[in-house]
Amino acid sequence: MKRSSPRSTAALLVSVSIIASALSVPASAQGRVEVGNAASVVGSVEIQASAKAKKRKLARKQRVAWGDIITTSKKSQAQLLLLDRSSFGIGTKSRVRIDKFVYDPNKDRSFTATLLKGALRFFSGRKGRKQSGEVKTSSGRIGIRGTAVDMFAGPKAVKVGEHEDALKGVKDKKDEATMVILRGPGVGTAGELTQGLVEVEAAGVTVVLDEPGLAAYIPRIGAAPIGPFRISDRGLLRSQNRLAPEVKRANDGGGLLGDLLPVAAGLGAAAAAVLISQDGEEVPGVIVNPNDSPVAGCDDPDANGVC
Amino acid sequence: MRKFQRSILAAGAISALAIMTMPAMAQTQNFDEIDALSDAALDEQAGIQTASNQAANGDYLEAIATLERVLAIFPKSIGARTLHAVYLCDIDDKQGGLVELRRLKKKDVGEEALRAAFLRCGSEMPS
Repeated sequence: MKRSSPRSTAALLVSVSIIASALSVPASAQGRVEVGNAASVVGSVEIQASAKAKKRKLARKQRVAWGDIITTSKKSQAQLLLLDRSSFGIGTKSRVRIDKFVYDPNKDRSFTATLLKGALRFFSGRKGRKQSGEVKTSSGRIGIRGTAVDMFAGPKAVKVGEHEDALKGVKDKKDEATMVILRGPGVGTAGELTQGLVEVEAAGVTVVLDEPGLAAYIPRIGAAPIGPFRISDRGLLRSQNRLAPEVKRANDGGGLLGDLLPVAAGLGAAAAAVLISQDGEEVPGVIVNPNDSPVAGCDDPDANGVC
Repeated sequence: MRKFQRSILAAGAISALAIMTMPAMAQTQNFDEIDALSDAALDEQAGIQTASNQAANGDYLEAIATLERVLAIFPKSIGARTLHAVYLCDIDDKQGGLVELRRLKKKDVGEEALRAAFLRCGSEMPS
């Protein structure tokens, strides 16, 4: 049997190392970088790998990757769950692109996304040493630190803000406007969460949102953000209706899903257990079938948020 | 000498295999976890329980996101809607929580439960 020379042994070792290195190269260098799944899909939602790629129907649990564009139609919504448990809730008639997401469980997480139009809610996930995020719109940039934030671009931004006192007389362009509302966590949060902070930047001006309920509005491309101002209850309700159209629709009495799927038989043990008074006394939940008495919802509540 | 060379080659191959498979295994595990979270929302009570567990661990933002997945499928779920409002208050978005609580009805939630929810949001239940 032929003896292998030290030279051939070395060559083999080098080959093994090269193969190992090639296979351990970050997925970004190899192509598609999958960063999460479509955790929830309602109605007609499509995914495309780039602006020029063919649109395909998005299925629940389908992987989403860098560069993917998610588009929701009327009466549709989706939630993307990323590997660090951060989530993007995409409202009706919206279009969102995931530009980049980098996550190291032992170090940090960062992402960049673009809200091309519509409604987007972001919740940060697992605590890391360093968390940063950025959402771009046509008229501005939203810097995010460990937070819950609602963002709107285009006509939805105009609609959410149209009754806000702080925006009276503002000249906006419906295809260019951006609305940002910080939802939390605030300084009084439970769970030792990092206090939320958002920076809304446009035309060289930065507005900082550091309390839940504070908002900023960019009326058009080239304009500085207006704010911070406190969003009204009416504005918050409009925001919620655009992010969760199915909840609004079902409780308006027109929910198709609610008619087709099994519904709550009550508040549920888990929910009832949460409703504990501050002195620790459990409060019983007396429940009837919610289908028997749908809660009236509306798209245009009065100034007090009442329909 | 040959044995030595074989040992080195074997060690190299094992290392390469480890490098190849470890990140993939971690990635698979992460995807399995988020797929399981997605599945949990297919059952209303399981989804609410998942959210309760997350909140109990202090992961309130994850809990709210879980409830939003439940509500996407069960939009009339009184339990999910009530907890969603309460958890918003827990992260100090009391305005947002109260806006949602005001859309619920006493006869759906139960008067005592709804009163408790309002109190948790630092407010009295409207009469």
